[in-house]
Amino acid sequence: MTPEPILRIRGLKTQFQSAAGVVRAVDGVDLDVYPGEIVGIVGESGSGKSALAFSILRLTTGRIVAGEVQFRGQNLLDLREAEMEKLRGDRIAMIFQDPMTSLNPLMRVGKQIGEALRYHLRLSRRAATAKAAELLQAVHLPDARRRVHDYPHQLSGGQRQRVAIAMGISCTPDLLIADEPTTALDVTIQAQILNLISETRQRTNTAVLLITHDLGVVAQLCDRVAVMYAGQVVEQGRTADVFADPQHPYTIGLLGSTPHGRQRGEPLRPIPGQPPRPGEIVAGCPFAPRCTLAEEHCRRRAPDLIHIGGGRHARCLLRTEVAYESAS
Amino acid sequence: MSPLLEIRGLVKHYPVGSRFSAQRRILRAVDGIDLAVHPGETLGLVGESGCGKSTTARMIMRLLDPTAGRILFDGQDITRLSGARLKAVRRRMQIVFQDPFASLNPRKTVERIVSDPLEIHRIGTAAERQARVYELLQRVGLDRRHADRYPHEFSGGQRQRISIARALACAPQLIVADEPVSALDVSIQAQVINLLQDLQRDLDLTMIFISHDLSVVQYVSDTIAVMYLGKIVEVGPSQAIYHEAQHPYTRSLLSAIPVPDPTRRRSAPPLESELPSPINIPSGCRFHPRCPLATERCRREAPEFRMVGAQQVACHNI
Repeated sequence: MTPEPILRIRGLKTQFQSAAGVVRAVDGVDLDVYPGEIVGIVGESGSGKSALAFSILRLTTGRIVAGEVQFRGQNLLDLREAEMEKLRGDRIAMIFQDPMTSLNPLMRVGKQIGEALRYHLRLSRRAATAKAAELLQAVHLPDARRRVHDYPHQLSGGQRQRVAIAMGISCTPDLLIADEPTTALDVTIQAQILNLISETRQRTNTAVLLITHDLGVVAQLCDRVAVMYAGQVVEQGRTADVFADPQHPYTIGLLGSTPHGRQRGEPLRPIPGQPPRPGEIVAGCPFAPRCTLAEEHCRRRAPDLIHIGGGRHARCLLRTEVAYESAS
Repeated sequence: MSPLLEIRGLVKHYPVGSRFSAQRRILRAVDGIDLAVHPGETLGLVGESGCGKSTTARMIMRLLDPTAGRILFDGQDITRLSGARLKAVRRRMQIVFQDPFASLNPRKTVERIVSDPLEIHRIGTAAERQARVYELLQRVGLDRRHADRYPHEFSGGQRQRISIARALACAPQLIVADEPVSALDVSIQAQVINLLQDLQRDLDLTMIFISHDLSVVQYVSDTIAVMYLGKIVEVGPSQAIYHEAQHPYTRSLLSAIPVPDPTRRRSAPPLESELPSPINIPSGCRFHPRCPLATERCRREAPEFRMVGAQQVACHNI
């Protein structure tokens, strides 16, 4: 039997007001995350993946207009701000793309890590510093005992991301949201950080929601993946299944765009056109204008995310028909 | 066939620290590299941040003056050229930068941006220049309707197309593309890579393609040179480097690339520790502190290039 998901998002919608009108950054997202699993949210710039992450923690600058975010059985959208504060950094932690902007440049890293420990676990200053050094050791920061006294600028990008991870896992959260945690890093350092995330999950059984634009990172790290396009999840399933047999034309297009393993001269198969601009409303399926398989009705009717068997979901009218045919 | 571009012993050092300090130190951005690119060929230059690949690109374009070494373009030494003679060479080589937001003047229309090189080099009449702009826009997958617009009206991928049109304006022989697709989303990245490949074939361009992404570089290049801390550590045919990398750094770079294939999870453990500072370059082989194969000799003695298989490798232990 399957355990209860630790995070259960239903119909989540987040909107921004801009000069171009209402931007529907998150446009009806359903997503489950189970304890101890790593779920990848993959999509390109503007697909709404970061807005989704920020909405879960209610840190978004936009307006959450609909849906629910059930975390361990309670809807986070119903909580008072004070209750949210107790959760953030304790049960749900987040790490960001650029550790230089997410760390306080004027505070020693040990003290920053200690802040969460003192606030959530009520540790003494001394105990918090000692625990911070332990955490830095756990994330393999070289010379951790001495480094607790460093300021962020004294560390390299990879080391700062280690500090951010140490801070994220300091209260052993149930869920860690990592928003492009390796995008600013070189590949060899990225490999180290991905290993660290995987190792952390093994050790603490923390579930990880990993936001990334990199299909390679998803393939290497995630148990399940949700592909986002124009604010919606267009496909989700186990990583191995989605990569082996992608169902949504957008996923197929993304995989066809990567030069990995392709010989010279063998042309890439890019997705034609551009994603919709923020605020642009596309009638029917938002991907239809770029979709090589789109038919007339795709431009009129917006598809739902439907279960297509084997724990997989796709948001595509073509798949919907196939599913209905096989069901009847 | 003689190379279109050749660089010999190219060096760029920057003094760092106070001008009056006794401990004035040297940052060795590029520390003696040799390369040759033949007509119609693409050379891929790959390495992580700070390895000196962009500095090399800028020296080739003569946007930076080398500390030492020579740059030969079509047999002519252009290392110290200036004035009209430098301008004449520049017409024949152009650069495309990484950031399509920073490399286009926001106050100029696309037509002005693309026709600027033509004006600088006094090519054609106003009408001819305009016709050329329209032709170029079409060539890169835009059209004449875009000519009156400003860069902010375009997406990243379209802006990169504008940069490419500008680079092509004077019909150069050599294009240096410095991380041209790194700022773009994958689906758009593939469009721009395809465009560059088509252009190269149709216009018989020679290209230097610089990237940190070995999987992109292997796809577009005939030859790959791998840089580490200001030096080339391995150079050879693209497929040989990608499939039979010899240098331990190239190997770890390859194994660190997250492969978009869940059935092939990374086998080798990632490289330990971080890139040393180019101010404080390790003795001997500069890769030795991170190298799984390092021996005592590597600490003392810098390796020379040797032929191993189809490529040249600078390593004592291969």
